[in-house]
Amino acid sequence: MARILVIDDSPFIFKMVNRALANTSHEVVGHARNGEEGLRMIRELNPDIITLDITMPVMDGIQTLKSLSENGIDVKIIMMSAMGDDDLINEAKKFGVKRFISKPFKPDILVETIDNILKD
Amino acid sequence: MNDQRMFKKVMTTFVQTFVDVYKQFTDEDLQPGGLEKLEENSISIAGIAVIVPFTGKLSGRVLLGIDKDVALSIYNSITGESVEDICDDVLFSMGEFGNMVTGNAVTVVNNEFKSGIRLAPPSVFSGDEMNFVNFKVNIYNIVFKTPHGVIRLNTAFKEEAE
Ligand SMILES: [Mg+2]
Repeated sequence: MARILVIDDSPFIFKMVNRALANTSHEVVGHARNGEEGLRMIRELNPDIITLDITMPVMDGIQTLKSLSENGIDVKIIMMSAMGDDDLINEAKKFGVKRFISKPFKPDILVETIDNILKD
Repeated sequence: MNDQRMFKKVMTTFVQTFVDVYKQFTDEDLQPGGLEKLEENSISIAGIAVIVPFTGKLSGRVLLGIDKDVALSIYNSITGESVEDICDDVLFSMGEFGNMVTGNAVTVVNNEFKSGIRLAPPSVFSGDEMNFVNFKVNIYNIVFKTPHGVIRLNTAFKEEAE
């Protein structure tokens, strides 16, 4: 069972993540609409896993990875974005990210990725 | 845009990505119409308009014009809800649909051309008659026929200053 924070500017994605995890043992604990809000909510809620979007206002996904690393915040990260070119993936990997989901996503892919990341 | 090969790739990628993302969303097939270059610089849209700006080796924006009925049927089919009127939830879903189409297309283009294109978050509008005026750019239009109505994909490209 994992506690998950969704960091994504789209309320629609938050809704879809909730639906995907509705009949699982995992709990969605919150929704942050940009990286800055995300960092604050990580401190408040201490989730096991974050799903992290790339294209967001205020602080995007890559900036968020930098900020997490600078602040020594340790949380399991699933990048979940419509963007996934080699440069972006490599940039995210520099920050230790190993799990990527491309949008639109299938609910079982999300569940499977969460199960796998919990074993990392 | 000087590089014809890149342009051709960008447009075919957008069309293919659009069809793929729509299929994943709704499990329905789309009929893409032909590509048409627009000579006039204003576009009129009724229903929902989604704008996704992008910058990089290629800058511009994607503008989606989506009929209300199409938006409602896409939304209801993904969520299993039966919403009858356009509300924020429907608008947010269309914004994300625009982001997914553009993001997936740009990913393919970036990998092929090392174009470093990045998106800005989408803006979404709804109204019965919305007019969008373009700056001097290359504008292309493709109409997709869905079982519920049409979606217009309108792309505007600007060359990077050299
Ligand atoms: Mg986003």
